[in-house]
Amino acid sequence: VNVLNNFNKHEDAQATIKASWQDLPIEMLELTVSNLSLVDRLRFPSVCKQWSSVSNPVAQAKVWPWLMHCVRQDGACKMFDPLCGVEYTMKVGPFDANERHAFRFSKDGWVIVTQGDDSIFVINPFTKEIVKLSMAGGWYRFTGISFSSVPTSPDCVFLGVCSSPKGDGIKVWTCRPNEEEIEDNEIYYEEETEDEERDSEENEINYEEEADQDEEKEAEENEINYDEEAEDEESETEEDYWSEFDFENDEVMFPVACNNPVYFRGEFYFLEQRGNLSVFNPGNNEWRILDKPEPIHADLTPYDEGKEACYMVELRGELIAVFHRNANESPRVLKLDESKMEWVEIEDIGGGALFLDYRASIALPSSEAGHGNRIYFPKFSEDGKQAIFYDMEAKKYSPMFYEAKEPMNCVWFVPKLQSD
Amino acid sequence: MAAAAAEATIDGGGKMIILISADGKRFEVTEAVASQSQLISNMIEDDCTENGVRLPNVDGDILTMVVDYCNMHAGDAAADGDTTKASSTEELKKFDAELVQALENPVLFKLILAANFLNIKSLLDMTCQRVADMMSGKTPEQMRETFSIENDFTPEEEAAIRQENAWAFDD
Repeated sequence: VNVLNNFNKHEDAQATIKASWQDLPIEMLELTVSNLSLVDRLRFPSVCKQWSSVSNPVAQAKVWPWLMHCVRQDGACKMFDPLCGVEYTMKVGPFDANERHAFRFSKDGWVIVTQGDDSIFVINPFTKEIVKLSMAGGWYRFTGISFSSVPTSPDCVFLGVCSSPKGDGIKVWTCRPNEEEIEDNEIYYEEETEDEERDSEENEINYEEEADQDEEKEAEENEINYDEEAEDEESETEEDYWSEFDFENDEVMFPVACNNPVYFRGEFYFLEQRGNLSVFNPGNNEWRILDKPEPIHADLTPYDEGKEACYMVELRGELIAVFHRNANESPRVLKLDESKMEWVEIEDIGGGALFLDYRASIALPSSEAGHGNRIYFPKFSEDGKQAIFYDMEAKKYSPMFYEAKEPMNCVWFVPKLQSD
Repeated sequence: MAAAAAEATIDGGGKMIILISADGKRFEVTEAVASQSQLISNMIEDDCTENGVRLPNVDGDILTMVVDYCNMHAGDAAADGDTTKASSTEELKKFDAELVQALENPVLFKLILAANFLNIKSLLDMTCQRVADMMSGKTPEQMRETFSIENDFTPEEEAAIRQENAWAFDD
């Protein structure tokens, strides 16, 4: 730096001017806020009046998967943030206190929950929106479950799958809860969604406030509605929105692995333990086992099931499979090279992060600084402060995999506070 | 503008511009360095940098940092392909990280205002990101402490805001 002239000696007076952060101009506040993660974003307006005036939508806050887990049956859920090592407690409901519920899958902020033997629904834990998926036959036969798009959208397809142990027979169930004729019965949130959208445009604070109040009200209504319908179902067993499809595999067996199917380019993809893929097309209800990619464990028999967990996720438009045996071995991460239809082992995931679990696996394309190229498992340290992950760069687990605890009833999900 | 660009390629450094801070410090920089500021770039385009550019909103100590930053980043902004002075990406990352980490709170504040006034987008993004990082994981009380902000809410107002997402305020 070439300082040509330094005749002014009053700089000390200048330097002592204190920064008054509450007066930071609004454009710069908004730029700052756009970098905040969800919880920081929610806390930000409570710092001072000026800061409460930023209009950035909460929907733009940075989010990543949290592990929702639930010990009690009263709907009090813990939300563990694996990147920050913090846990939040929230009442989710409406869960029936008398019936055991379980998390089965999640996508786009929605979580599939089963309750008792034949109740299955999908819920956004934050907005409390619910879509019911009545099933007379019993969800418990599903080994994998998934859905295509936002559960409130008219074209959303839900899919359940199971196979015979040998893999010679496959059953697929599909359900379109929002198709015209059943729309009115199944969606309770509609009026409110409109209100919330309008409010959120005007003012985030009002939106939240109203959402909270209304949610409680709504939750009660839902429970009531739900109970009524449950009774209906008992008397009218045809209240089952699921279609069932049976397929027989002749030459190639396909025992569906215990993981979630992946909705990819309009079809549901299934990963088998040996590493081959099959596809179900919800448009024509056809099932096919792909010749390629070839299995990476061709010699594995169906009776080896459980020795190695496998997961599949979509990351930046590509399919990624992870095979994980135990804490002594590194997870194998493979990318589907579509030009050759081959699994290719990869050393990093481009700075992203994977959150794996048999119920729902989620890929985060870009991770917060220092959290990239990691594979998170649904476990955390005994003190509940550290998530357990495998570091693909250091090629090791951190912290100790063995000492980790894994909640019985948990699911990865990405928090979404706005309605769909 | 075409003429100015042509000149810049001839001697590598281009035309020099004098920047004058609020407290009268003078900085001589190349057009390539200075034009990372959209404000100055516009002035160059309008041919009104002849007698130096007075920046009444920017102190000398802050302008020193800004000029340092622009010198470092001139390489990636310059369109004339002069790579001899351009810093490598790793060097730049390191420089930026060190710059932003070392900033004392009031200096960071002034640097944001300067980056905004001079319209240097990358510097503005970087400094605002730094502020966001400083908020990360903090309770509202800790945020106030970090940024010396007085709580100007009534207890009722504050409770109302917290109530909206009460779960996010459990410490």
